[in-house]
Amino acid sequence: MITRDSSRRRAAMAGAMIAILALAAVVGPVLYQTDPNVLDLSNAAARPGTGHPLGTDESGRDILGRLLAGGRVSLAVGFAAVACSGVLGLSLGALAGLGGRRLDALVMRFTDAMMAIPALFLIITTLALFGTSVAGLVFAIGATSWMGLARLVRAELLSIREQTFVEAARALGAQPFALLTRHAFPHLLPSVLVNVTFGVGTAILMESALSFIGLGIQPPSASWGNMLTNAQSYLYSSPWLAVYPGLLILITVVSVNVLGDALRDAAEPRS
Amino acid sequence: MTFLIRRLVHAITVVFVVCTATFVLVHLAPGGPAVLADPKLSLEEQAAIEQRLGLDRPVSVQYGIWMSRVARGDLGESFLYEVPNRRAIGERLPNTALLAGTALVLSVLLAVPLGLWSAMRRGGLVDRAVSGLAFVAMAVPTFWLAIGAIFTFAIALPLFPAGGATTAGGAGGWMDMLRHLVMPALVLAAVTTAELLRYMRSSAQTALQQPFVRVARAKGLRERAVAWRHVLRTALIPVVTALGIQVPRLVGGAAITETVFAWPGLGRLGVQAALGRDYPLVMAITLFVSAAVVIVNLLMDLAYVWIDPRIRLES
Repeated sequence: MITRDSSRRRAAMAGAMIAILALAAVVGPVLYQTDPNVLDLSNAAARPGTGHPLGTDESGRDILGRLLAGGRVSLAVGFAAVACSGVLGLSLGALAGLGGRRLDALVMRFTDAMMAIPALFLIITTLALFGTSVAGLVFAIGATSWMGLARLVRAELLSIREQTFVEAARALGAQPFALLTRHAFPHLLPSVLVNVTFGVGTAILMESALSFIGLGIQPPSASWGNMLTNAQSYLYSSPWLAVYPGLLILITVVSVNVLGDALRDAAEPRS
Repeated sequence: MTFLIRRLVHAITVVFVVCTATFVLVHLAPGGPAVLADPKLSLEEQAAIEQRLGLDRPVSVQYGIWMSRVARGDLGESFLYEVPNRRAIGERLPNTALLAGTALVLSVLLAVPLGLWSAMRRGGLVDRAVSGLAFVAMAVPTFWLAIGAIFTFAIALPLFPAGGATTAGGAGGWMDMLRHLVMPALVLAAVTTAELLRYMRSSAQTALQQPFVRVARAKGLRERAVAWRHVLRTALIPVVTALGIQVPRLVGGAAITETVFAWPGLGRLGVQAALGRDYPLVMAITLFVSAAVVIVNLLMDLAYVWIDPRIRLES
């Protein structure tokens, strides 16, 4: 039982970390009222201290302010993209699992094909054609990351359909919709939750990578990813600029993944 | 045989979906398919392109024209470089193949023995260290790892060049290329290694509980022989499946890695084309890369048949 206790403790720590980061993203910019986009070239790449707790970047912008603003963007895009892929994955998975053999085959062939296409290239094609907006970014990430969830939902629905309690509910005259929401959904929930949690980490990594290469959040708006674009150009003179944004992405994704692991342990006690 | 036929059908579906997806994207884009005509061209030239693309015809006919062009390997012409996309891709392809291929081989060579070792000595020091590292590797942004590597091994400790594929104005040669390859290949391999390692570790653990392992141990085989001769081959089967899923991700990661290290490959070309709004080139690269990934996956399916006799003998 030692492992279960330590897994619980790790989950609690990860949850607390995520809560702190989310709180900082929501409340931080309100409490710390420093405009993250104000340039101060005479005070560029300043070390921590004197009015700038974490120093300034290569254009004299306050780093703490940008980290808070960037965190807001990164977390919001991550969660929104997962909501988008969640809706797609749930509906396509349900379509395949409940729609009969032909529809199932069609949806699953499409799902397999989407999994075999390098998502990043599809995303940059979309962003190049439609322009880089936050909504476009969320949609592009969501539309290329629903496949795992769709497969999972389909598999669960196919197995739930054969269970005796569903047969019993059907015999008692339950309508198909009630069967789905009242009986199938509670069974799906734990594994969907695990999948979605890991999805948040992947989406945040994808957003930061896209912002880093210049196709995501556009400057002057800050995101953890695009803060690193500039940091790379100043790696010789001010390497510390590259530390905080990357560290924050890492901490966020590690916390999310630890939480996902713990949820999985709780959802599938067998493994 | 049925397995390979199924995989072939899958491969054709993938190519079909990519072609259709790009067609739909172009038609939904603001400005419509006319974006594919270079704005720098004269009106007559634009009209000629629009006619070649059949933009004055019904959408269904345009779809047919699009598909037949792609099938013939006509990938259009780049705005930025003013050369056929096929040539632009052909020039960069060897660099990406080298980088992604090296990273793939490296990750298999690292993940398989380490995963096997972790499974044999479960809970031991190596297992815990390796699992912890893999956990972090899966959460670290590739480009940040790349920046860290550049700072550590090119600036603070100048062992390797910070970017490019050859030294500008240098003598060249394969040693020079190799020095440039080390950092990007290792950075790119990090995530794939971590993913494969998790699969290898858990599938080796499952294999260790099989009766044939007990038999092998009972007849007095050494642990090393049990691991390498009996556990390895069984444990590799799910890993080959995982490897197939990793290939498209690896190629996506290559685009990021190439961008940070200024490695003159397809991924960097695609990113630059997207930034420069060179629509035909971005789309050509997406189509080409997807087709290439499909072919690599098909080759892996052959490996799968070779490793797993159950599939070879199934009919």
